Amino acid sequence: MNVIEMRNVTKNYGKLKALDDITLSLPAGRIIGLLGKNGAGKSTMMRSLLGFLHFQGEIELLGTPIHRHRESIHNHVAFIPDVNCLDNKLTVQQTLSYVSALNPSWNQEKANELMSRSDLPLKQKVGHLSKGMKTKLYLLITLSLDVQLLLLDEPTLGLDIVFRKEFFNTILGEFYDDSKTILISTHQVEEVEHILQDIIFIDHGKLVLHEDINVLKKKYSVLTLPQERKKELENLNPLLINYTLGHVSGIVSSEVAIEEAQVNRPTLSDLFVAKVGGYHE
Amino acid sequence: MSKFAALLKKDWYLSRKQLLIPVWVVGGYYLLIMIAGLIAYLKFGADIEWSDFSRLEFPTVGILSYFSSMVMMGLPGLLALLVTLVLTQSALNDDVKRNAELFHRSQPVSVWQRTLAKFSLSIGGNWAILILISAFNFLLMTVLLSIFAQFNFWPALAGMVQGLIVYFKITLVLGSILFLASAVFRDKAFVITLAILAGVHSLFIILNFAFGWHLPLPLNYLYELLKFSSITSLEGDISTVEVRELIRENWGVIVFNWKTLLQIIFSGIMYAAATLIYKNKEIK
Repeated sequence: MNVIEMRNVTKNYGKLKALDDITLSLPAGRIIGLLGKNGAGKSTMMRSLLGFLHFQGEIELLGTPIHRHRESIHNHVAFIPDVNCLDNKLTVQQTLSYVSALNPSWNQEKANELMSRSDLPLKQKVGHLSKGMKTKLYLLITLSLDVQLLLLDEPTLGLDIVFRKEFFNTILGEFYDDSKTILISTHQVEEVEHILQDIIFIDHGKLVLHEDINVLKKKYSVLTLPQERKKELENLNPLLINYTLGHVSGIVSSEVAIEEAQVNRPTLSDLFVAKVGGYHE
Repeated sequence: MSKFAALLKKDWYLSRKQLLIPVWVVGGYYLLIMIAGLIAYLKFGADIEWSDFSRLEFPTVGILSYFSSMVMMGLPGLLALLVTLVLTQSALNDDVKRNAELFHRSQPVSVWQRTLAKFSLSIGGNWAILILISAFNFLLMTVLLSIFAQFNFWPALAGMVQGLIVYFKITLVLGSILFLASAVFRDKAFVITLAILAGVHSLFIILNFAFGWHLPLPLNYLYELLKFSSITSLEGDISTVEVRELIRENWGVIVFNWKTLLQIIFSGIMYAAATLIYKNKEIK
């Protein structure tokens, strides 16, 4: 079953097309990355999925049609938005009690375990926490919910590198199993690349690409040559060319090759720049 | 804990400072009276003449007990009304202003329950505080008047309850209008609502005058909805009035009439309209 079905979804903010006729199916049990530049439509897409925004087209979430926001969907879907929207007037303890009382899917054991690993001060008001601490609290809440779908919109914004690594390597790994789906939008693509299975590129509200990462990476190679052999690379019509310390490298189809060129697999950020923000020289 | 109880508890945490304002003000008021009493005692001694009051006959004592306990509702009632206006005008837009709307709306609880908890706390919460203050006032009055003068318990209790209900009804009607306004306007709902009502009222007066129309005037309707027929009977010689009859008549004037039903229905409609508008708004 597909957990997310979007058919011809368009969202306008006045004259601006934030989402432009997006059609997309995401299967269950995958970790999917959503990549786009600032203002590409990532947050709009996440919020439309939950019915927070009004849109044209059709969306089904876990088999349920979404026309407007339905609170019941949050029994199965947890969401971390890109802004820190916890209630600053509540204390950490009050926030945890509030969320645990409202969510039947709350896993107290998991919450205790995550709490014991964190240094969150229970009696402190959320508004007095640092940005990183607030994000930790939100992650703790979300990961304590036993839900089928996790929507993470820039989840580690403001976190230090140690916690970011812990989040992506350990915590998220503990949440994930084959029955669950995670959709993550992030700018720190290098940090999530190793856990992602599928990737979506979005630009100016349009779907640029949706593919299995392994398949995508097999399609392309990075060929590196000394700069004087640049012409040979250009003849292969590369998606992207980069210059580094007397060398030139280009992303090309993996079916082509150049003698004595260094061959590497492209990174996700290379492919993103190539597909969305890339240029031909 | 039920979801509704959790919502109420959360809303209590968020608005308890405002809700407790009447308690602090009335407490301060009593403190000032005590200080003034102490100064008077130290300067003039305890020579207070209670003899005039103690010679009063029934039903005068009953009527005085009745009205004094009703009038004692004045200050806390006014404070509770002000707090109700403050809380209801921001009931449905405060989370948006504080950037916490997405967090609260991402919880699996119906919008109707959420708004009912906010409606209950911003109006009913004030009622609870008002009951608390009234109970304290009543206890104080009972003790003091019983010691120093004459006091009639049941008329006083009826006066207090009727006084409370007057404020309940006013806060219910005005609070529910502002509750609706909080769903429509992101900020300054009270001022905007007042400006709109006054603007429409003035416009209709001009149109009625210019074209001979009979358009309904909104502020007149609001006034009609809020006003009570005169509470029987503050004028005249109170010693001739039978206190039980007076209380019975005022139950009819204050509580048991069609206007009460109309006020409840009106508030219900305001609540439902506010929830529907709130539910259908985009969360950006």
